[in-house]
Amino acid sequence: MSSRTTWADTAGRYLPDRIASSLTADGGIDKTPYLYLLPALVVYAVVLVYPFIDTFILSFQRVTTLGGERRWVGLQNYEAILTDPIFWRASFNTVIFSIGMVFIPLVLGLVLAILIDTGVSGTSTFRSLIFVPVIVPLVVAGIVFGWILGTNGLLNHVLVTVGVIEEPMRFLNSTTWSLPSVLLMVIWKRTGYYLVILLAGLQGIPDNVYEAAKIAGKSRWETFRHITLPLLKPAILVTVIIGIIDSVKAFAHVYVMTGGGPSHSSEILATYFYKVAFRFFQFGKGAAYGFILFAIALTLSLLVIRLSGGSEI
Amino acid sequence: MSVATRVRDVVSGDSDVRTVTRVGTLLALSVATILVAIPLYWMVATSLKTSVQIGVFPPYIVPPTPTIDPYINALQTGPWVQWFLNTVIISGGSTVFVLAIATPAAYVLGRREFPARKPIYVLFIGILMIPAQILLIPMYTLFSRYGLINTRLGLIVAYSAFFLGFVVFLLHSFFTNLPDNVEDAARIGGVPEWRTFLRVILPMAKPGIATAAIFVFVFTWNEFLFALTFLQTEDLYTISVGLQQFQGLRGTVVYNQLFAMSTLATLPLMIAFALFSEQFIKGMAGLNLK
Repeated sequence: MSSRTTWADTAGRYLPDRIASSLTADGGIDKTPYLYLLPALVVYAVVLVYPFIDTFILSFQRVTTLGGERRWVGLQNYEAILTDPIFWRASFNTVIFSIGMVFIPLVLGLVLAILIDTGVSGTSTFRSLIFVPVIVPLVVAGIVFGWILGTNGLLNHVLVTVGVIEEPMRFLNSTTWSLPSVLLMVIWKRTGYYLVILLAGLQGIPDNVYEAAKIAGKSRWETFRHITLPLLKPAILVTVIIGIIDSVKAFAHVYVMTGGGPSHSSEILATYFYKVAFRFFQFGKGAAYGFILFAIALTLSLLVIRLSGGSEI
Repeated sequence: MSVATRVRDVVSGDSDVRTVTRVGTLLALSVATILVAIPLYWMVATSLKTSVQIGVFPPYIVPPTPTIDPYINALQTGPWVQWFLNTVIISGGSTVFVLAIATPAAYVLGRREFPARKPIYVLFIGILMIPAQILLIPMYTLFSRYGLINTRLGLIVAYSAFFLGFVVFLLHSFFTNLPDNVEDAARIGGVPEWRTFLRVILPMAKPGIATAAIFVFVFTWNEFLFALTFLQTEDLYTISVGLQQFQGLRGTVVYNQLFAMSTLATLPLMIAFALFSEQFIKGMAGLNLK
C-alpha cells in the first residue's frame, strides 16, 4: 500500500505541467491523443466534410436524378436562384422573421430576466416555467398554435368576445397574417431561451458594481443604461447571433403551420430551399441555394460580432 | 436576495417601496407565466374533448366531459406506438453514439497537449456555424448509396455527426475544469492511460456527460427536417413526422387525437426537464457564454 500513497505525492513534484504527459519516455511525441480523436474525426470527415465539399461541387452542376449523371453548368444555379423572385420574397420574409425571432424575445427575455434577478422569492420557479416552451417539440408547438389561431380557435374567440374583431379571422390563410402568426409561436418558444442566457449574464454582474453606482448617486435608469447593459453585452450578443443563425435555419416553424403559404406570404429561405431541392428535385440549384444560406448566416454573424466590437465569442 | 441588497434596504430604509416593487414583480411574472402556459393548457384540454366538442365555436375553455378516449382511439387506430418506439430508438441511439465518439475526443482536446490540438478543436466548433440543411442533398445521396436512407440507423449517424461539435464543445470545457494532475498521478502509479480515462476521468465527468446526453436526447427527439427527408415509409416515422403527416392527412375531426398524441410526445421531455431542470438551464445558459 505504501507505493500507492507515494505516487500521488510525487506526481505533482516531478511533473511541472501537462505538456510533459504528451511526451513518451524517450522524448518522442505520443500518438495516443490521435487514437482518442480517431472515431470522431472519421465520422466528421465522412458524414460532414465530404458532403460539404460535395455540395459545393454540386452547386456548379446540373443533375436530374440523385446519384445520376452530373453536368457542369458554371454559375447557372447561383444565377437561377438570384434571379428567382420567390427567393427574394423568401429573403425579405426571413428578414422580418429574423427580426421577430431575435428582437422581440430578446426584449421580453431581458425584461423578465431583470424581474427575476430582483431575487423576490420563488423567481427561480418562474424561470423554469417560462423556459418550458423551449423543450416542446417544434411540430407540436406548430400544431397547437395552428389550432389556436384557426377560425374555431381560442384566439378568435377571445378577440371576438373582447370586440377587437367582429367575426373569426383565418389568420393562417391570410397573406397579411400568416407570417406574424408563425412569429407568435416562435416568440412563445424562444423567450425562455433568451431569458436563461440573459439571466446568467445578469447574475454574473457582481453586486458591488451596483453599490458603487448607488453611492455615485446614479438613478435606476442610468444604472441600467450605463452599467447593466454594457456588462450584459456579451450575453446579448450571444442571443443575437444564435437568433440570426437559427432564423436562417428555421424550417419546421413555417412548414408545419403554413407550409410557406398562402402564395409565398410566409415563405422563408429554408422552406423555399426544401421545395427547390425536394419538391422540384433541382439538386444542383438546391446545393447552390444551400451555400447562399451558409454565406448569409456566416456574414450576418461576423457582421454582428464586428459591429458590436466584441470578440468575446 | 443578496446580502448587499438586504444591507442596502436596511441602510436606506425604503422597504415600503421594496414591497410595492415586489408585488409588482410577482404580478408581472405571474402574467408572463400564464401566457406561456396557455398553449400547453389548450393542448391538454383539447386532447380531453370529444370530436363534437372540439368543433364548437366558441370553444369550451374547460372540457365539459373530460375523456381519455382520444388517447385510446389514436393508439388503437394509428401506428403511434411504432412512431414513439422509432423516436426512442433514434434519439437514444444518437445520444449513445455521439457520446461514445465525442467523449474521448473532448477528453484529449481538453486535457492533453499535442500538435494540431487547437485547429482540430476549431474544426469541431465550426460545425455549430453550419446550417445543417445545406448538407441535406449530398448527405441524402451519400446515404442512399449505402442503403442508409429510410433507415433508423441512417438518421442516428446523421444526428451524431451534427451533434458532434456541440458535445465536444460542452464536454471540452468540462474536462478542462477537472483537477490538473489526475492522469499524471495515475501514470506514475503504473495505470495505463486508457484505464485512467475509463476508471478515473469518466466518473469525474459524469455530470457533464449527463448534461450533454439530456441535450442531445431532447434535440433529436424534436428534430424534424432530416427525419422528414430521410424517413419515407410510414412505419419508420418519428413522432414529429408522424404528427405532421397525421395533421395533413386527416381532417380536423380527429384533432383531439392529434392533441392527445402531441401531449404524449411532449410528456417525456417534460419529465426529463422536471428531473434535470437545473442542469438543463445552466447548460443552456453557460454553453453559449464560453
